[in-house]
Amino acid sequence: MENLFLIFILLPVVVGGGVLVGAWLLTRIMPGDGKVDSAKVAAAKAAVPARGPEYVELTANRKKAYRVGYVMLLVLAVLTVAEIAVSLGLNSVALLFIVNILEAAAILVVFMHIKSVWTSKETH
Amino acid sequence: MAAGTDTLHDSYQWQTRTNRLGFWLFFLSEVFIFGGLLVARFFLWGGTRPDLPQIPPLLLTVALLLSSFFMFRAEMAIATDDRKTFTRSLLLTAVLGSIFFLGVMFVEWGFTVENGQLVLGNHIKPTDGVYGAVFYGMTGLHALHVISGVIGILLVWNLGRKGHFSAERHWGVEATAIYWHYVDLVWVFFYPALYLIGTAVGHGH
Repeated sequence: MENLFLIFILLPVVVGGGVLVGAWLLTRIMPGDGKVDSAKVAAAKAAVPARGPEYVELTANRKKAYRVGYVMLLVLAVLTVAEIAVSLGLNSVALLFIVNILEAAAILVVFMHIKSVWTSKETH
Repeated sequence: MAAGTDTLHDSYQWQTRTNRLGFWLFFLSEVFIFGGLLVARFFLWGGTRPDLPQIPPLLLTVALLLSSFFMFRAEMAIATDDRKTFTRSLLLTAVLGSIFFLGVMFVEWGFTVENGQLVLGNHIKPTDGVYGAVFYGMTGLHALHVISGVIGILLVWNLGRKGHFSAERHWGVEATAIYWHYVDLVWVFFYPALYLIGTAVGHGH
């Protein structure tokens, strides 16, 4: 129970606070005296297409990309549950390994874009 | 060709492509390191594993998988010029990654201070024979990658909030994301190898 309290309550609070403080400190010690280059930010924002056909396409792409993320999260959650179920119920190393391979393949293809290594398209 | 013109090999896209190839070769070398540890686990532990609590590592696994989701979201956000989601998702990834790292350190390793000295060994000690050696070797090397990934994410976040990166130019984000997903990928194999596969036994061997 102590461990659960540590993970659910104490750890997120302490770590979340720590990372935020750390991130703030980082902004102090990084080059450019930590100040946001407002001109650069404005230029970056201006680069976003205005509300025309291009913007609609960009928004559609964005929604599609985010949806892929949600599907992946679901797939990983299901595979992790399957992993536990296999280990507790069936105790089959072979089956567990298959679940692992599926999980790894999903991460490699969707999250890590492994296809981009051999595709000739020179974009992100 | 006149100096200063944008030749094919000077183009950002070309550089990104070669960077990407080099980065994946680096991952290939990492596969041998983590693969060696995995082989050591199966060679030394065989069909057994140390008797460790199951809930904390499962929760830490969930935190790591969630962090990968937010990292992907951050990458997709900058690729579609959604800067707000980009910076927020990066911070969330860093927080979840830090939770994983500190969870391993304080829950799994059980870092405590006794009589002014740092002591290890909540459930298992490094001196617990092959079980301790392999457990600390695998979780330790992975945790090292996690913390270096968190530092990378915070650096990218800091650059991002200052206006760096765009939909067209974000190799730094892509590289950090791939690195982070790689850390996740390794854990996908380490987690069952350490906590699920084999018969749980006492670890004083």
